[in-house]
Amino acid sequence: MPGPFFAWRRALTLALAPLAAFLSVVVSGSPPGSGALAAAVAGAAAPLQSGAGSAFSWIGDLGSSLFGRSALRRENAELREEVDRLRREVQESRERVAATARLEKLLEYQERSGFTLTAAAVIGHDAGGLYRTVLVDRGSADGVGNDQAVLSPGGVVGRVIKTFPRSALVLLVTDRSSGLDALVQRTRDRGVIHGRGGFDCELRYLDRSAEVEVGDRVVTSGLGGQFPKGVLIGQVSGVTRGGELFQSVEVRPAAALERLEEVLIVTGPPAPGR
Amino acid sequence: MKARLPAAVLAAVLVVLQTSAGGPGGLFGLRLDLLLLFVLATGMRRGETTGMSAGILLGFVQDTFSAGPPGLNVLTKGLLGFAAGSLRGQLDCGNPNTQAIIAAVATLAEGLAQLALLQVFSAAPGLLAPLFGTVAPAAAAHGALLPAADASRRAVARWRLQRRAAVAGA
Repeated sequence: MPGPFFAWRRALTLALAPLAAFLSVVVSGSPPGSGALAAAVAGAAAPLQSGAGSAFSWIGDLGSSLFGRSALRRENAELREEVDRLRREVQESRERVAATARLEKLLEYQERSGFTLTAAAVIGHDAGGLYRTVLVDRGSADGVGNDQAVLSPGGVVGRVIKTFPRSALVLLVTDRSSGLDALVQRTRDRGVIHGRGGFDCELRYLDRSAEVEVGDRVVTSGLGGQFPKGVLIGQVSGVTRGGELFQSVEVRPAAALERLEEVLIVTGPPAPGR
Repeated sequence: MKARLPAAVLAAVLVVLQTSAGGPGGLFGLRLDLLLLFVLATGMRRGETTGMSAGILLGFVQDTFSAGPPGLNVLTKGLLGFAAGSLRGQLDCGNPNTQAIIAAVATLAEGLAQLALLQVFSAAPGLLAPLFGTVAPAAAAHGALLPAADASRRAVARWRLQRRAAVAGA
């Protein structure tokens, strides 16, 4: 039977969790993530996350290489070695070509948009299970700040919600807590894009009389000043007109959010004269 | 100190895996919480204080790399680490079935607590949709993962013992 000292010790230990939670709010700073401790943790983890991203990519490449090799098992050892070497070279070349194409697209978009954009690589995602975010390798040291818009050549990606010196956390448009003022490009009807937590978004508060059709493009309205006006968010994939005041419109994001590798962060307004 | 080093290295590896493996939608659509499993395992093996300490530390790291409000994971993981430690003397925590139930129930409890707290702070990503869409599948997966991870740990420990005995015998 434990004595009263033991019971007190247990109660005190248990009280440590709320205390630690309170302390972590204090040391996380305002806005969250700006505190020295959070910045130190993020700074220490960023190279590891970046390395892990490359490692997972390498494992993926290795997997595809092994898959290819299984079909060649009946070939003799020399030929197999030669084929493997060639396959690796082809795979590397393909990867380089794909990366060049992606970077060309980013550069072209950067020039076309006129905004000051900072390119960033995706190095991780949300550590919790309830939010849809990605971690990018550019932070406050590169001019990235909270609430800045994040785009890809395909369309809107999301906005920055936490910045660390060398990395930043981006809330995707598909997150349930994300909200973004939007326009249906063809009819100019306004609504608010909300994430659904999966792969789709929903255009809310759209007047029931708005004649929106499947395939219509939804773009940013520019209201709020975070996002440039007219950037593609996605296309209407479903319309439900019930007996309510507003209609429910499903929107499939134009950016490939599940396969993001590089993004562009809007770090400044258009250059003068553009 | 020396005995805790492998655990610290494992925790660091799990943090990197938690934020890097899979995409933003999770691994095969499943949002696993490897850090929660580590906290539960630590609590069940080392007791209340160590379980809670692991929960608080890993909760802070998780909060840093998550969109949720700061302190959320510190609170829930700290309490779950303590709870897992307090179950050590009352349940057979070496039994895979017990481990599976603890992992599944703890995941559900953490998900519910976090969603409820987020409702209070008006930062909720919804309640039922994330509960059934994210938390419940993760609870089922955790129920299978924790006993498997513990069995692997035991196998490694057995192998190390045998190797030591062989070296000593030689």
